[in-house]
Amino acid sequence: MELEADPRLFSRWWDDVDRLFGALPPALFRQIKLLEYDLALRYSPTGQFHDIFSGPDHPPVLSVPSWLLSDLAIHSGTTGTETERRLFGASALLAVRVQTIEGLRDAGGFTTGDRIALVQWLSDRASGEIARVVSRDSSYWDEYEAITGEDAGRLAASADPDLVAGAGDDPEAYLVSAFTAPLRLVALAALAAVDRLEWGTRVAEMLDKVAQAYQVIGDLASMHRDLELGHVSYPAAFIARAAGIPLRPAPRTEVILGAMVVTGSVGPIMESAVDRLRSARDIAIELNLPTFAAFLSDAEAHFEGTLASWTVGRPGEGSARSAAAVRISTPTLPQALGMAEGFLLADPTFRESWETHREGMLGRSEVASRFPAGLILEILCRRGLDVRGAIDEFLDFTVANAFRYYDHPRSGVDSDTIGAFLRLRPHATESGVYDRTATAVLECLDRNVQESGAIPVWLTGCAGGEESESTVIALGEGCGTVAAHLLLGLARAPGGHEATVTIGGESLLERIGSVGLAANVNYPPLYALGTFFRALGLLAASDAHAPTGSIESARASLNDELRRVVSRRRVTAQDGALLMLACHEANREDLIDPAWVEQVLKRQRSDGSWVGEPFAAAPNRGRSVSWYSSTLLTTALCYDALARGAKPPAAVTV
Amino acid sequence: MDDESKFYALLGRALIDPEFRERILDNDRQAAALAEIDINPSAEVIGELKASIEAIKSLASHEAFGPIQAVT
Repeated sequence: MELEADPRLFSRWWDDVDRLFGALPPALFRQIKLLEYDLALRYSPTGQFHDIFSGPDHPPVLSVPSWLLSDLAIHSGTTGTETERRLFGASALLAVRVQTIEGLRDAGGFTTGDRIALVQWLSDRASGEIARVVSRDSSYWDEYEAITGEDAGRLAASADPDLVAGAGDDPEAYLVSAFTAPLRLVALAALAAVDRLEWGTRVAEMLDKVAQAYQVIGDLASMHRDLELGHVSYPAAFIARAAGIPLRPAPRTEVILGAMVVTGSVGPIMESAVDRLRSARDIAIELNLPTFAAFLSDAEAHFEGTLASWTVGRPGEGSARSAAAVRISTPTLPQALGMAEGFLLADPTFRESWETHREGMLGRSEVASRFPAGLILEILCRRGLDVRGAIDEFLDFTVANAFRYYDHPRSGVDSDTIGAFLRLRPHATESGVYDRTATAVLECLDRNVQESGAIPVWLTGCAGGEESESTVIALGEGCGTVAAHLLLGLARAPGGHEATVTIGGESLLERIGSVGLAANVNYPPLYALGTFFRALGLLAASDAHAPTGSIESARASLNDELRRVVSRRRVTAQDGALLMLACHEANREDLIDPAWVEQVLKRQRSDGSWVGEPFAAAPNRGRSVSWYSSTLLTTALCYDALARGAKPPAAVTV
Repeated sequence: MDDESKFYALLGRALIDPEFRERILDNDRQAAALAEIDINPSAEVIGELKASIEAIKSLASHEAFGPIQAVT
């Protein structure tokens, strides 16, 4: 029996859908384009979007209206075709809606909250298509309200921890298909369009069983990933019951998977899906719906064959190709960290992160500061990666460039560059090589701090810096984050700079205690917050560097700032990362919202990077400033934040 | 075995961690692998492990047992 609609009609209906999507505003079009690929990846046997939900591996989400109208022998004539066309469109829109919502709920995926508008559009547009074929006074709309209300209730319940925890141990309580509502909506609309709504209850019952059957199979395949994300699905509950494992507290992933092996549950779970297909087929036969009956017979035979081919412990003889019972999922966080490391280590010079100027700064066609690479190296060091070679090169260059910020003789010497040098020096291949290389510049720094009573951003009076001081306008002076950067290196440096640390530390703490985050000038406030907490921890650990009163005042001020910033909504990956880092530096991991981790994970690109976000203001075209941003630096910050929250490698610790 | 969940966890890890699976299926490295996860390689444990090995191998050998492969 030919299961699909007339291929020419089908193709025209897809053209309608393509036109509809193609006319969307650019932002929505970009979102829907990704969804087309997501749907094809998950539900298309060929990988083509137009082939989604075809064949026995997937529920017939797009075929229900045309099959119903065909089986009811009402497909001929213009009206039938128009009804099929409209309801095909509604089916496609609702399928995309399901995929969008599933994506939003997937903490390990890439769907971000900005797709809420798309969900709204898809809902409205689908109901609009249905309204073209069902009269407004039809009782269908009462059904429509009930179905959509029930579906919204399902979504709300799945996001409510109390309701999830109260679900009990019955596997059936965990069997909810996202396709149940869309299938009912379009099927009942088809029936309403031809005045056969009296069939609605039994047709809905049949479709519920179809949706559940495919849900069981889908949940089994994704069980490993679901468990990793903390979701209990029907197969996990089924296995837990078979093994006598309580579902509260949630059992560990390995325990459920091991119990699956011992109890041999894969077969019975698949059989429960096939049973549902069988029940659906019986209803189809009873209602004299031959196309549904034929599809369901095919699907039943298909899954029985699959089951026979991988019955646990007895691989099928001669079976050609079988689907996986359970797909092993790569844990999202370790995978994301590995990808990020690969990206960060791809270029040992970190060239992309250099603050490069090609607008003619200082009269040269290209001038650069390698300072951001120092921040990246520091992060990689902290995470235990071997970047000694890159550090050696960074330190050698810094010395050769006489601790200037830019690689130009008229560039000033600055505290950020000195701080990065001092923090990285202990991690060089032979740190002793650099013991005396900073002596002169540190003496200059000591003099500057003694004279001004604070740590300057730009040093004055250093040997060789006269030209810079007379001809260059230095921006960003008085930045507490730069002072903190320097203190973090200087406090641990040999050579008797205690007085500088004490004066500079005291000045910084007083400034923070007085104005909070406004002590920062040049960096993102969230970055400054983490850096201030880090410096505060260092100064507090050595009470010789600052009086207790200053430390406590600064700590109180920073704690207030932390409480304030964690309550604000953050939208970018870098913001989420910087917030997490600030909480870690403050030893307030309890304030970390898991949503920030999701926010960072969802925005990682396939090469392991995150899009560079504004990090510091930098001169541009001589008369203005614009944001410096770097893909490498933003990636390093996101990597650092995720790595600090990562659990140790998977191990059985029972 | 006094704690069944310990054994389930052992099999679960064997299913999802190919390197660990290789070690517990290797007679020479089996005892060390079990000790590493705090399981005493008693005759009872080894016996139960052997009884489950075929099932693990079968599940792990499915062609699509792994992440979705897609290219554009």
